Amino acid sequence: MQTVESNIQILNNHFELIVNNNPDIICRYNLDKKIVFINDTIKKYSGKDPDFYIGKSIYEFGYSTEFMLKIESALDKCISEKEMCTIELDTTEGNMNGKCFNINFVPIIEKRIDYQEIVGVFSVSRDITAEKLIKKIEQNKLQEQKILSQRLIRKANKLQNFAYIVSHNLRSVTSNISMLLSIYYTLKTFEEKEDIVNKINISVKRLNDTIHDLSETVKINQNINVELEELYFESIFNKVCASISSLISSTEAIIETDFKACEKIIYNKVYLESIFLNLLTNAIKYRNPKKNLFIKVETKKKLGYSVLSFSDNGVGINLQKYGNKIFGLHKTFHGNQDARGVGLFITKNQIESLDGKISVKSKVDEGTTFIIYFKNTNEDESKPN
Amino acid sequence: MSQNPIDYLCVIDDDEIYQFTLLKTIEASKLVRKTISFYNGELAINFLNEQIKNQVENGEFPDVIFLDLNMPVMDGWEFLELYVQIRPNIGKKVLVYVVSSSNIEYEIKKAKSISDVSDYIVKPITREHLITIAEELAKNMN
Repeated sequence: MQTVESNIQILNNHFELIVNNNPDIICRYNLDKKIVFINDTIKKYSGKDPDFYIGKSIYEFGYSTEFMLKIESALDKCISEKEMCTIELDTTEGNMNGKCFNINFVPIIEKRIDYQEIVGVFSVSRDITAEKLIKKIEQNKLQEQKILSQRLIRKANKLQNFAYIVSHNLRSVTSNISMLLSIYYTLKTFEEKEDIVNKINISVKRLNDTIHDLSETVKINQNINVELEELYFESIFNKVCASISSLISSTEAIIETDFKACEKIIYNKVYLESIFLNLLTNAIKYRNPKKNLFIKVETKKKLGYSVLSFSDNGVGINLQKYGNKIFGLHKTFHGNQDARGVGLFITKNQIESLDGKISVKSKVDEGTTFIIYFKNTNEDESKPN
Repeated sequence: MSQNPIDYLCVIDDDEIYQFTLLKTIEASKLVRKTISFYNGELAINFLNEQIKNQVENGEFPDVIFLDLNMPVMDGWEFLELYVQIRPNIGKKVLVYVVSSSNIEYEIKKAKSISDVSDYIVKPITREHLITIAEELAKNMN
């Protein structure tokens, strides 16, 4: 008898040792959801001895309602379904603040002759704070890599675009100049030579313009010294309108604005002015001669972006035909003599250099809407206006 | 048939100065009898359609087309799409040359992959180009 008893004692000691040294919090509830056992591990987290908890229910520890409800509903589910129930719990309670647990609620079932009876619930709470932190860091890293690779792709596209412009726009002018020069030397009369010199002058001016446009673009994309400040859409827009007020009034354009949903952003002032100016002059240039020009400008907030939409009722553009070419340098579509195809190219570059996006919707004879996504800085996010 | 190796040439390009220099080169070469030029693809395709309609009465149709790529209203690519459709209605072989200042490999490949495009010429067009084209035309005649 004595050996049996001491064997049981040894077993019990073993068992106690295992349970109390388990890094997980192990707890047993009765069906009335009162705690009948909790291992020593709880002390490591809450600072209180197991005895403090015994005989008490979850409501008696001053936890937040949300915290209690989560545990209680898991307990209820485990009891009613007689199946293991797992929850993840972030806690802000006392010493456990900032910890995250994965908790398994396991039903304790006793077999009767013809049925199974649930007599209580075990819970095993594992501290997964570190794992979650690592996961979060990994996710952040992944996100960073994604942003980085997107940026690289964008840069690569920009370079390709740049190579295209150099290849196309610069080469076409220089080839004209060399042809004009070779023709010049074959001519005899002053008048004929004068004509060629005029044409060379025009070409040189065009070359200057192209080089100027390209260096502007390089400056924008280098993104150096782009100062950001808090800007009110309305005041910038009004300032731009005032600068071309005679042009606007000569077209009798009606301009409607609504900046209420998003009044301000942290942005570069010169860029924002240039964006508004390009959109306005664009709308005026491509207005429908049969209609009174109507322009609507609106802002709103959307998932990390301040969104500006700029609509007109102008001639529109066939996007199926021209697609995103409308943002290309020296791409013109309507056969207008004064179109240089620079404005929207610069606009797009300015927007993208500050991580924004621009898209366009248009219907021929109905009008065009440009939608600009300005990436919010963290400051924008924390200061809702 | 005229005495000039290239009978009828059509130039499609929005660059006025380029057109001027090209016409001077053509004039000086004495290789071309008649030249017609357009500032974009749409004007040219309209003209060609008109010529197809009048084919019976007026047999004149360009033998050679110089096509620029980057143009307003209708660019070279779009012109080619439409040209491929009307080509079966043209009663003779026409040599289409894409002529662009762009020397980007991708564009050259894309243009050459179109079966109706004879070749891609990087601007400027010289007398030598015209001679090669004249020879190509002569080959087609035989």
